[in-house]
Amino acid sequence: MTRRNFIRVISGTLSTGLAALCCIAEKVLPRRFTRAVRCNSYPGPVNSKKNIKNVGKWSG
Amino acid sequence: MQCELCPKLCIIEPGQSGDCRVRINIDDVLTTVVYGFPCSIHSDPIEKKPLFHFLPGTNILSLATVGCNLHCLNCQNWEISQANPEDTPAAPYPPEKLVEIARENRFPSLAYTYTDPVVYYEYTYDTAKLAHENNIRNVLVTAGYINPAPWKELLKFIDAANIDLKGISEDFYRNICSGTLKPVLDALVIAKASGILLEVTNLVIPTLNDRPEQIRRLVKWIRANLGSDTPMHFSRFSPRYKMRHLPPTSAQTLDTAREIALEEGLNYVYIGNILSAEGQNTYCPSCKALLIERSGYTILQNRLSKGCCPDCNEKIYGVWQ
Repeated sequence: MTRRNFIRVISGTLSTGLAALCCIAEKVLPRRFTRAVRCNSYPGPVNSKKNIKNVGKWSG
Repeated sequence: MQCELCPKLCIIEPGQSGDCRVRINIDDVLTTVVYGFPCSIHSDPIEKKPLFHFLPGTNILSLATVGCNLHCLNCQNWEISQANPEDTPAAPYPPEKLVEIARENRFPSLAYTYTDPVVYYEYTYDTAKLAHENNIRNVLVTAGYINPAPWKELLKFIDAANIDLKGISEDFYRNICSGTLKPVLDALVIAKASGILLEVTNLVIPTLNDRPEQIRRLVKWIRANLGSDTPMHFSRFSPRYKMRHLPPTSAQTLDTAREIALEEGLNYVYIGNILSAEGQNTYCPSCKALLIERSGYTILQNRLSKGCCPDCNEKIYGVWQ
């Protein structure tokens, strides 16, 4: 094997291994989670307070 | 910017929202625009969630903001879950106000429900934390479509949940809900392991997830992964949203689903959204005695004694006081 071929095989193996490690790490390591920031204003129409005594018409 | 709250992992351009419509990239800051602004807030019987093994007969202060990270074609609450905040009226209820209302009106618990509390995560989290500090319990009604890290963090302040397992096939989640199955199964397992009171609902839709073998596969998974004591609710589908061409689920289909679940060893199996004599009652898994008799959302009799069957003293899974 020539030196050039040897380097090609080594670099190919290393890059394949590195890609596999990245894939595994992405699946195994827990994703970090960043909280969203609270917006100061609501983008839609804002009502006065609601009558909370009623049973909701929605499912759940 | 990438939102890492749910498995969709939305990449959000400046000025745009994620798939849920309520988490927005404002000047490169991930912002929740519905925090403190529920579009619905009501006093519901806890049986409506449905939760049958958690403080039965009590009312629960229930709220939701607009938005959802799933887009089920059959959504029963699509007018708020699939709405934009820009178009939907809401009222200001910061966490402190909600807890104050719950205390003043003696609600023992708060429910984050109707749409999906996952999309108003920060509002749910802060309110639940504050509620716990004031001895008020927290209930989630969710599809469980959330990543493990934020889910585990939120569960620290949750006492009970009803998680909707919409089907047991990847195709169903992809084609009907625009989601995927595995994250929901993972969320169910994590919720059970966290020690909260967990109940599961399956909406039975004619021709889509109502075949006996599909029901059997679903209940087998629940028994194997969540345990035979996990209360299971089969709910009746009504034609809504983008699925108006299908008929409502028949009583016979729901009865069959219940029979299959009982055959497979689940101890507490219920039928919802339809009046059913046996399908709404709780029976002792040991001596089969009637323990809690219900009609709709009303408790007709509750024979439990300190969470146990009064006849054979079997401990019944639940939070009873």
